[in-house]
Amino acid sequence: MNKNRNEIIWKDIKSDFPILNNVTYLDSASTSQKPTVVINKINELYTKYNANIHRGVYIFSEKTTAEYESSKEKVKKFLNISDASGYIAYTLNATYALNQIARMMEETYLNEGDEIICSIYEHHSNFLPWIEVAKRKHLNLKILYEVNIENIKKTLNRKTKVLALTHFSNVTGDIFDIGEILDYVNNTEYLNNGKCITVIDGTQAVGKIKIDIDKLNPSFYVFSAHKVFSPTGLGVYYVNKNIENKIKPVNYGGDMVNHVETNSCILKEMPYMLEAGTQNYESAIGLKSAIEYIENIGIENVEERLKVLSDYLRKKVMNLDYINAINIEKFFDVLSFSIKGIHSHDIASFLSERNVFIRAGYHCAEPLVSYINHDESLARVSLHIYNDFEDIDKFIDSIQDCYKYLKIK
Amino acid sequence: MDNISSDIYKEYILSIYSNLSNKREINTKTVSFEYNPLCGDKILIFLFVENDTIKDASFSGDGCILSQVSAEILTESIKGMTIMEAKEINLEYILKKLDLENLISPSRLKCIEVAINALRKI
Repeated sequence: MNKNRNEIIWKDIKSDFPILNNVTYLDSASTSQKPTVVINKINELYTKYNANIHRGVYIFSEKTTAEYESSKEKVKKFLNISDASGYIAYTLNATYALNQIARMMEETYLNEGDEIICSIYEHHSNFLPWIEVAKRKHLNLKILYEVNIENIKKTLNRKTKVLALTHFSNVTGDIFDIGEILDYVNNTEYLNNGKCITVIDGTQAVGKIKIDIDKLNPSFYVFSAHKVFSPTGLGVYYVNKNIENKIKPVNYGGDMVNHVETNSCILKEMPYMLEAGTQNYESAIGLKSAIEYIENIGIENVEERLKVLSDYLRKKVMNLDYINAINIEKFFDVLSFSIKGIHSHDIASFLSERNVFIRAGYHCAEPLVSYINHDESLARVSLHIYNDFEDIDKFIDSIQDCYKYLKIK
Repeated sequence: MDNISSDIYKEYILSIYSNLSNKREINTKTVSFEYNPLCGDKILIFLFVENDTIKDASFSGDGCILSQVSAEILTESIKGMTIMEAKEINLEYILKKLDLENLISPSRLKCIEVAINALRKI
């Protein structure tokens, strides 16, 4: 149940994250910190009922299995995924999920001459797997430099078999109107019902903005649990039922088969056929707890809080004329920037000495950073609900010191 | 400087950085480069070698303060050495020269290693 916005005391939210004592953590786009409830949940697993899932008939195994399965139900409810619409599959991380998707499509659907469209805004994880598939299968890979409906209409055609798009850029802080784009794909006869596979990378979006998968209706929607207050090692992907005929496991082994002979096997039903081997049930159980934590605050309140913090950061940064801030007018939550004459890693190291933790480099989106910042790496600040105005003030003060101290050339 | 200080970016480091005398290109075939795995920045090392002795050494390529300063110290240190001797210069040597021992995080050590690795490819 969502709390009334006025009932939330954001200072208390910060104290839910024990690691944040005395540090200013501004790298949540890279990974999120974990609240005590999630840490306790993992502790509960290992001290009260840990056993491998789907294998034992004893109480511990039944309990762990139930927790694992209910984690998926929690994800489905959180992202509004009905049983009729599709499945949630778990894998190692978002990168692994995207690679699995690319490999599956390579094997079951893509043929020489087909076209794949990726936006320039893609994280390497939704870029490199498609580059490799395109090379192996002799496909045409087109880059979309502007993500908007007009450009989509101009670019997509009868040969387009994959559209790989990020929902929320981890560099520019743009949230793209994926709904409008998917609406066009889903209502265009030669693209809809899985003729053009839509692969949406929601890694930065989940846990920060409200997402309604049934309304968006993509072929795949991918995210990473560790960015949603959960432990590492869990990638989550939604698979639309309308492309079930194009699903074929990439990995084979334990727990994904019903029957095995010396030269063949009968696969389990979806989504279990996609989950070979022991799954990261620890992280799955952590994710369930993390989503409950977010639900208790209310995803609308999370989104509103991040908007307020982003606006405060925007105002403060706009006062510093030496900062080249990317997408300063529009960014949400993620702000990348450079300072002429000071390398991004020197900025990040200087700030680290002041316990202000930001990211620097190409943010696993080198083609985009090269495109928007002339091959120069970027420093990046990214926020989450445990951040406050004080964190932003501390960042601004440290940046001012950094500029005064390191601006030599 | 308004009482601002830094353990890594000491005045000494900044003074080398503000005057990189070896940051220039030499017209030579003895050149190699390396990328910084942390950020993708590229450092080129140029050597002018005569009678098996490095008569001049320089570098080019933009990068962070640590990578630039270590390239400067490296190219300065190897003048007069044979290529074989020059390739024996290691991370510890540069860190000692810069008085940065035990101060650099493992990820930033890569910035200091770029020039060393470029030289070793010659």
